[in-house]
Amino acid sequence: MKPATRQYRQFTKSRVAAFALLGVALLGSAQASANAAQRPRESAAKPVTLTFWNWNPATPTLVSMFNKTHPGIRVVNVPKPGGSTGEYPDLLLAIKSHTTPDLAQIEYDVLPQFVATGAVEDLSKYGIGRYEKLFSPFALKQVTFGGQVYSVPQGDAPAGIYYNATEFKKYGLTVPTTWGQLATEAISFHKKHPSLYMADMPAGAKWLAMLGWEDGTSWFEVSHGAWKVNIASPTMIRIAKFLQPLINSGALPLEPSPDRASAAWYTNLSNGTILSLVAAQWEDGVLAEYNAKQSGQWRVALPPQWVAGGHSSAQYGGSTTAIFDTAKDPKAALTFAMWLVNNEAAVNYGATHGIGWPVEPRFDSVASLVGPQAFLGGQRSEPMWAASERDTGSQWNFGPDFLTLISYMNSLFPAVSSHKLSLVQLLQEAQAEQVKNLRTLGLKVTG
Amino acid sequence: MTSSTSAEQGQARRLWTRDKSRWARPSAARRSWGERPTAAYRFVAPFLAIFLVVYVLPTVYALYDAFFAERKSGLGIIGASHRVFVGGSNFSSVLTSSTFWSGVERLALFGVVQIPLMMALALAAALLLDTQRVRFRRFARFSLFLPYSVPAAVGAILWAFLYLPSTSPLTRAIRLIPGAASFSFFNSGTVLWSILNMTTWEFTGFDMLIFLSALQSISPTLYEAARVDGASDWRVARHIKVPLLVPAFGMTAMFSIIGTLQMFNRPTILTSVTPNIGSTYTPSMYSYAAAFDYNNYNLAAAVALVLAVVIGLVALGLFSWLNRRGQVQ
Repeated sequence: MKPATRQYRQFTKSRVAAFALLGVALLGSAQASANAAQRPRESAAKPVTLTFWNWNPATPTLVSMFNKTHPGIRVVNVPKPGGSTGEYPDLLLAIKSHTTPDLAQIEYDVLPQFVATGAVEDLSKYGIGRYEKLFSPFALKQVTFGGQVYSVPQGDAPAGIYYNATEFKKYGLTVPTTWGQLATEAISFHKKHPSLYMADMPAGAKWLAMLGWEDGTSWFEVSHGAWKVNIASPTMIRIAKFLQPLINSGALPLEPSPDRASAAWYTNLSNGTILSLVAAQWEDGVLAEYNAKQSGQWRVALPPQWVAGGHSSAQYGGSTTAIFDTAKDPKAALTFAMWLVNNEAAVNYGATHGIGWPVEPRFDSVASLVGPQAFLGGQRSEPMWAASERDTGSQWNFGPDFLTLISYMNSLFPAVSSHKLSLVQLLQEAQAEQVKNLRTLGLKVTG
Repeated sequence: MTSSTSAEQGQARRLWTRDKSRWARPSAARRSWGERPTAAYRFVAPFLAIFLVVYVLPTVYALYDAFFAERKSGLGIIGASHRVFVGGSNFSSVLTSSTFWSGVERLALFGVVQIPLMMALALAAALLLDTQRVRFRRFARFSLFLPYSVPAAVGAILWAFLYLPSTSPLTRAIRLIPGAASFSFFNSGTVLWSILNMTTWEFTGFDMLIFLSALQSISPTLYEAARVDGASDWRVARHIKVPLLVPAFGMTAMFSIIGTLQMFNRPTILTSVTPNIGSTYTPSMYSYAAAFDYNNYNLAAAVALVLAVVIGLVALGLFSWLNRRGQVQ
């Protein structure tokens, strides 16, 4: 019987190991259900725990600042890869399985689509009303649906033109104040210096949207309870026709990634082959990081205008903090979301660490908001960003299925890049596809 | 929990004792013959369980999902969406989708060039390594196989930087050739062939290994007979080795065709370095984009299923063709 006992012991040993593994797995799910069970009550001794999905590099610091001053609430930062290839697919799956976090960063442009899932809390119920007047009008408009506010603006993204002043001087380029000037200069510059580019263009729909927004149009309008889709509006066609020769001549290289964040772009940037870019305020951190060699050479100015002497601007990106219907304590979540944009220390830190431009105009006058930036040669950029923020038109609307729309448009850019499709055709195809899609979804659409 | 555990342990002990006695007294095996299938099922059970959970169930669920769609009303923002049965409309939109078929077409062109090319390279390498004349055979075999052991994503990133004009020594070298001053691996005309090069680099060693092992199973008596007849190395390769390798060709071709039609990670990684690869470049990427960009899981399921059927038909066609020629045992 002796060998049998040994065999038995070995058997139990491996069985114990297997059970231990199973236990670890069970523990994981037990924890998940404990999180869910926490919802109904919170005692004074035990702070309510809120999870916050986002991809902002500033959040860890902001969260610990918040937790230190708010003993009743403990926010847990859950970093996610950004946007449409990172957090959004995860969120959409979480919505399907009712495992959403308490709070999540959602950009303005895709907020309607997330609200449409029914999983985003209507914040009017939790007293956001008294804060509404604090926000920029266009920001408030982007988070309001059917008269109710569904998300807290988190960071804005006013547009501007970053340019390498040293190189501009060297080549005798002037900072373009109109798009027409940019086109003329960029084409003749690229002809003379074939390996250099005065400006660039991300191969993405959002950048086109920004140009349209600046030109006073909106891709979506609501009239008589139905959507009007204006992707191929006369204004947009004019913009497309304006850009086409710039693309054809190679003067405006199409960057691989829809938002420029690609290995190719970072490499070109650090090699100094791109001399300027029309981008948003949040790009300063990226530029400083990937372009350290040219630190101090860059400056920033108001974006080129469609009409000489005009004062219009647009947003390129920008985020909100949404609260989900699975939130354990929506009021506490709202407290945190508001603190992010309302607390001066938080706003100050956020503005210089990639959160974006403050969503409350009262901070525009805080002269030390960003401070002199070494990367921009000590330039004080606050007045310029504040002006760009003020100049942003409130006419713009993102559609109910914008994530799908921009993904579709972005998938057409390779054909534009290989000259098989013109930008005008891209807009027309996108218009037709979007109208068809919305109708298929069962929505009311007028042309 | 405790009771069931000890019961199972007891059962396991009995099983062990029984097995032990079976080993000790072979004649006892005959008596427990009737129980044998149970033991077999137990051995197969872990595989079956995993196969069922990660393969059969998702496929059945995808098939179910593909017959539905999400619908909204009004402006589509406030108010819940509802799931409706749409019959075959997701399938018909895939079958009529130019996105889907241009992806298939692109991969067909890719396969027609890449698969014969890679098999020829692998065959040449295998035949060379099979002769006794090559020195450092182990080293050569190892280094040819090495790319296959590099994770696909890592390999793709390495190639991406080898292709990227601003970092690429290859591009710089090619641009020195007269008339190729603006050459790029990422042009709309070159990008497919840049992926071809990556794929060939990665899988030639794998095919070669299959050919080598097939060569090793050839009976040495055939070589001796050939040598007695005065056949050269070339003739031995041409008239003995290659004909006997045909079944292995069929197998590697099958792997390659399936792998090509499922292509996903290489072009996906290259999307971040070239504007000429879109999110729907291949059918698999289209399915991914449908799910995670368009948030249309129903369409994604239909794309995946149609692709699976296309691959199944192609594989079946190849298999029956090889069968008819009597070249698959």
